[in-house]
Amino acid sequence: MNVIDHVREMAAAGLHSNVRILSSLLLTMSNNSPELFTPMQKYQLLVYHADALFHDKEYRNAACKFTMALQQKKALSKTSKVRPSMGSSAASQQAQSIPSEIEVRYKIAECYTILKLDKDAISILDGIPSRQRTPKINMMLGNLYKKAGQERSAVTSYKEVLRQCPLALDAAIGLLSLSVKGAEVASMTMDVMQSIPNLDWLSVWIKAHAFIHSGDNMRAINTICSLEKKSLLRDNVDLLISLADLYFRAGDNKNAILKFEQAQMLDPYVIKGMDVYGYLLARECHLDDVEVLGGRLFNISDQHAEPWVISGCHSFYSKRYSRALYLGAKAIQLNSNSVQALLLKGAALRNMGRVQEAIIHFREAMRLAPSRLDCYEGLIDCYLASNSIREAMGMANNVYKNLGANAQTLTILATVCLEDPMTQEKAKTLLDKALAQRPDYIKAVVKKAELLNREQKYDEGITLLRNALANQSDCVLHRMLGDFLVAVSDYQEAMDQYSIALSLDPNDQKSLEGMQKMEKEESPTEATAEEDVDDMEGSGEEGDLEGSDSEAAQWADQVQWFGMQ
Amino acid sequence: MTVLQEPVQAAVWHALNHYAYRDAVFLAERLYAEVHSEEALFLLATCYYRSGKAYKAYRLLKGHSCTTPQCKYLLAKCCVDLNRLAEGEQILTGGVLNKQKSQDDIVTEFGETACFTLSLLGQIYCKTDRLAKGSECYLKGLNLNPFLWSPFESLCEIGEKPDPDQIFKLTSLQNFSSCQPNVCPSYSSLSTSHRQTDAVLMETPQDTLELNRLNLESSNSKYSALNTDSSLSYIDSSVISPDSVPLGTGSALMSKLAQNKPKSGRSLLGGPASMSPLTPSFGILPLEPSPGDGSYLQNFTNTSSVMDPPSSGAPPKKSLSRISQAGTKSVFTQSGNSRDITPIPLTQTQSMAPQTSASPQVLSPTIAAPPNAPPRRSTRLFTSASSTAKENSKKLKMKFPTKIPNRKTKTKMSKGGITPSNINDSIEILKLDSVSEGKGNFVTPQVQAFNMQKAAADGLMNLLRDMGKGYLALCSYNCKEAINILSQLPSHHYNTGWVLCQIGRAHFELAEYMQAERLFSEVRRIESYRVEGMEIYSTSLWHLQKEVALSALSKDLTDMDKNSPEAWCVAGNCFSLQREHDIAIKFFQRAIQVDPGFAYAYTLLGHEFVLTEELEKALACFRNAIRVNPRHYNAWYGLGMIYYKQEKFTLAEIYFKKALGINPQSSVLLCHVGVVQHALKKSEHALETLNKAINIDPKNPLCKFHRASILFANEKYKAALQELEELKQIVPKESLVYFLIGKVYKKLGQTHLALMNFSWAMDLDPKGANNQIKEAIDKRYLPDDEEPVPQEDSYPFDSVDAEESQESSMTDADDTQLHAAESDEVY
Repeated sequence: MNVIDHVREMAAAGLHSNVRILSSLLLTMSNNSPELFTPMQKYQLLVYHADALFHDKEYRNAACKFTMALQQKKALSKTSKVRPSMGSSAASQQAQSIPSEIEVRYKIAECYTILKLDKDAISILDGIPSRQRTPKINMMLGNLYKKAGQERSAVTSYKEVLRQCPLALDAAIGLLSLSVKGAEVASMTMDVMQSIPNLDWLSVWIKAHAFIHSGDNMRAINTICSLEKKSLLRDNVDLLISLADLYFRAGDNKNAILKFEQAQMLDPYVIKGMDVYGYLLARECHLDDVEVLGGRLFNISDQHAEPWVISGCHSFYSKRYSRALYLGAKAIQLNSNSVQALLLKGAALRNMGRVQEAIIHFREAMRLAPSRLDCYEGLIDCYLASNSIREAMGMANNVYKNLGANAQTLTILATVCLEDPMTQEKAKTLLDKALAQRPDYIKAVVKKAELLNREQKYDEGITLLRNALANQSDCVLHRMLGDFLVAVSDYQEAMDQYSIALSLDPNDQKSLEGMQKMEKEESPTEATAEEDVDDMEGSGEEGDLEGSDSEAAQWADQVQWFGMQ
Repeated sequence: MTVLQEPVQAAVWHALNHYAYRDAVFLAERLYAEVHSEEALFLLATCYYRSGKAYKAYRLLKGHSCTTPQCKYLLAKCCVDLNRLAEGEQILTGGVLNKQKSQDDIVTEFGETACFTLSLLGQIYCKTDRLAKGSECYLKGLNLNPFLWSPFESLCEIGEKPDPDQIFKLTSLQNFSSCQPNVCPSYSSLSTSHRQTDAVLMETPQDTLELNRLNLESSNSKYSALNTDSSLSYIDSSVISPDSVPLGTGSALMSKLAQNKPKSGRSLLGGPASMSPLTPSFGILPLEPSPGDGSYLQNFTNTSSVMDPPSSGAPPKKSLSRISQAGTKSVFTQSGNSRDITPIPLTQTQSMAPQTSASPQVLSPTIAAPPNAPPRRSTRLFTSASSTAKENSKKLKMKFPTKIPNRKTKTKMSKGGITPSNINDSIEILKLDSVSEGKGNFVTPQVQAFNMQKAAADGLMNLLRDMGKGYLALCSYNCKEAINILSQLPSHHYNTGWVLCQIGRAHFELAEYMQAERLFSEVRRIESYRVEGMEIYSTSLWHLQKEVALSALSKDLTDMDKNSPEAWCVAGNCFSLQREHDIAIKFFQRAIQVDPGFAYAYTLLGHEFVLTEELEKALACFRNAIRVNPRHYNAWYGLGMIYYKQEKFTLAEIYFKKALGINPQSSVLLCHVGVVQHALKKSEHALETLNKAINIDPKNPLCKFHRASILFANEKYKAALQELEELKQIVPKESLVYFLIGKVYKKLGQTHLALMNFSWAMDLDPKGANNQIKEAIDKRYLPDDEEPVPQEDSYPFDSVDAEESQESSMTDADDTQLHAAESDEVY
């Protein structure tokens, strides 16, 4: 047992730090007197050393050492051909114990991927002849090709993985995301499915993911629901997260939140998808919950983008934009593919007035998630903020064409049309269409109500809002209804609506303002009444009534106080 | 596994039925850890909920996907309890992608629980200010089950005017069956076995689908066809409706029923148990002596056995109840359910006959049952028959044996038992067992028994109609009518806490505090444990200044139930009467703490703040009361009162009118509207309003006083004087009346009379709380000062002062009747 064997054993035992020190010393020895170790031994030393570095997360260093090892191996293979006379059994034994060249290449590629040198990684892996590629190499290649946009190569790599391991579901997802037909993917897994009992859900699962990647949210939801209903797959966290995400994409925030919450209860350590959950919660003004969620996720891992995004959302919705910007940037640094982080950073930039930078972020998010509407909405908001209506219009039309005419896209387009005084009529028809599809879509209702308010068609607005409120209660809608009622001077009803709005959201400033404004409109009559009282008071109690001004101020205070309740 | 589950489940229900919640929870936890099925989940959640831990049930159910309707219902119920209304609504109505389920969808999905689901949904809607939808839900729920009272009560409270005649009637017999949980989804004696097979179908519909495909060769084609059918129709169960079930999907119907299964066990306690005290009396009321008397008794005991816990110890409750259900069911369904769907079962039984003949034992009930037996039952039998036929299928074979031990226990029990119910049961069993027993033997007594039951239900409906009318009248503040209607109830119902409380409340609203107090003290005598309504009793006592009675009541109630807002309201009122306003405020706040949904506590707190001159806080309290219950007119009145004090008369009028809109019969409110109108210089309107008020209540001194003041202000001195003279007859010891008379005489130039009246006023109010009397007398000697002030203007000043003084005199010891009749009348 020579020293190399010791090193090997230590490496196998996982004593990487020890290996690192020892191998570094041995390598220097070998450099200083080349005859101390055979080239083969030196190759091994290099590999073990590089491996130790890899475990110490010194990836660049490791990649360098691995490349040196490869170089050494090349030289070695030439010399070994010269001496085939060695005892075959010993040779084979030795060959077994030495790390294979393919493994080394894979390690190098791994280092490169971590260092985000995708091209180098691909070229290293490409160098392996396709017959010698193991599934893990194929998988990595597939991922790299996909990222680099070489779809066809990615598809072949993934297919290769699936052929060797039919239950490699990530590869299946990869294929589906590259718009390979669901049936084709399913056919590759068919054999296993039939030979193993209780795997019959697999085809449904594949179908569901096919729907997800083709953007057919509706059918994807239905498929996953049917999967979930089966007792075998009930309460699966991953399914729940996918389902929640789908609900979110389809604009059904209530269901999305419910499902996220459930997933979170089932597995408190889940990280995936939680950024969306945090974003939804923040949007629904549950800021306390967001804070708690963020803190909890930081405890689980701060190496993921999600906790950063969540606390970013918290900062953003409590109007601390620069902090949100920093947190978003940190999240992007951890995971450059995080759509939610990009959106957060974009929105923060936009609200800080740096529209051009924001546009870049939204565009990137759009590229990563072409089916998510909020990317487009953010971008359009940016355009509107910089007064470039034409670009906004172009983008809205684009969305409308690409994602089909559903209530959400129609509303986006209508929002843009509303900005331009020339296209008011068009906006109106668009909103009507959207409302015909989904009469309860709050955004469309709000926009329509704004339009009607502008046109001073108060009665129509009141009926619209009342209809919408028949099925749901929403603070904004109640407030708008209050505004309309003030406009038709039905003060009593308006007061009711404002107080309902305030009971739904005690911090709604606009309702408070509306209430106060109404008070002021009331006050002229009061003021005269009070003057009369003052006049006739004369000899009576002067101290009690000062005048209408202080009275009004006092009233304002009261309303404020009531709002705090 | 299901086999193992049975005894544990039975033990859990047994423990639950005997209020041994800790045992039940422990066992259910064990069961759930063992099997992890949705059924066990539901059982565990039920245990948590019944032991009063709604949050436990909520978290448990929320963490797991609920697919069965009863789980969803329970989860939604917990959500409502925990005030997570949006979530509850989402659970009940939320479909995929914002599409809300319609009520019909809910009815089909929840089946037999739909009536409860709908009323829960109605509750959610009402709490989120969607009254129209809420009332729709309530009505639908009532339509499904007219035995529900609370939705009707809620309907009245939100200001709807439901017609009790329309609601409390057995519109169709189908209705009748759907509200008796033990009728439709109950199981024939064989049901255990089907249920289990179906439970399997239900749990893994798609598995069976796959299985079918794979086992196509091994099993016969008919089976697979049937099974596919059932599982498919399970997937979109909305398609299924009992009436339109085609022949082949009998099993589908069955699987749907199976979904509701544990409910029936539960509703044993929920549904009929709540009715149980009533049932006998209605059974007796319309009873006519008939040859089938014995069978009536049998039947009667039978129903009661449903509610009684098993007296003979060991036998698990569940199976016992199942037997008795079978008994009742046959009674109900016989001529009940079947009317419109009779042909179906006939064809079914016929067509299935060849298949079922393989197992005569199973078939027997089909024959024993009358030819027009309800379709549900025959379909169930049909499924069982087919399931025995498919014995060759592995999965089903596993379940099949459970049937036999079950039957055994039952027979054993029925024979071992000594109670009449058991005898009856054994008869039922006999009937089911023996193929040869003719149906003729049973039809007649059954029909009679059914008629009995129907008559009993009709009797109950009659009573509910009357009570409903009374309550409706009370809620629309037709208090006199309410008193009339409720007083006509049969004496054994009249002398119950609920009825007396309602009548007491009616008197209270009419400001007849003496009568109210008498009724409430009667309630205290009959049901000393009654807490509901006691807050009104306490306010009556407050008005009557009965400090001793009030503090006794407060002590008793707070000792009894520290978690009820009523008790704390009573305590608050008690201290308010003793002028310990700070302590009163604390107690009212505690009442709100105990139940944030108790509107009256907010109102009382608001009034207390008014008394301590913290008007902003009072405003917030009244607003909160309105938020909790928009029809709480006292709070609207409170708001108006405050604005009136702040001299924002327009707003005050708005709020008074709002209150008046809710309670249009209130003379006090009318009177206040009149005063405000006068303050707004609409004297004509004001007089009209006051006249209306006096029409409603001719003896109301406050109205008369204000009318006199307005007449005085409008320089109609003669009329004013006449009014005041009348008023003097009603309240002879009121200083303000004399004061006003004095002023009138002063205006008329009769100084002597004026001075006399002023001095009387002084005598009656020697503390000089109303020091304007003195001023007025003083002014008498300085006539020149008065002259420049225009005469009409002098009124508002006086009126305001009068109000003020009355307000302040509230805090004084010698509150007189006029004071009591003043603002706090609407307290």
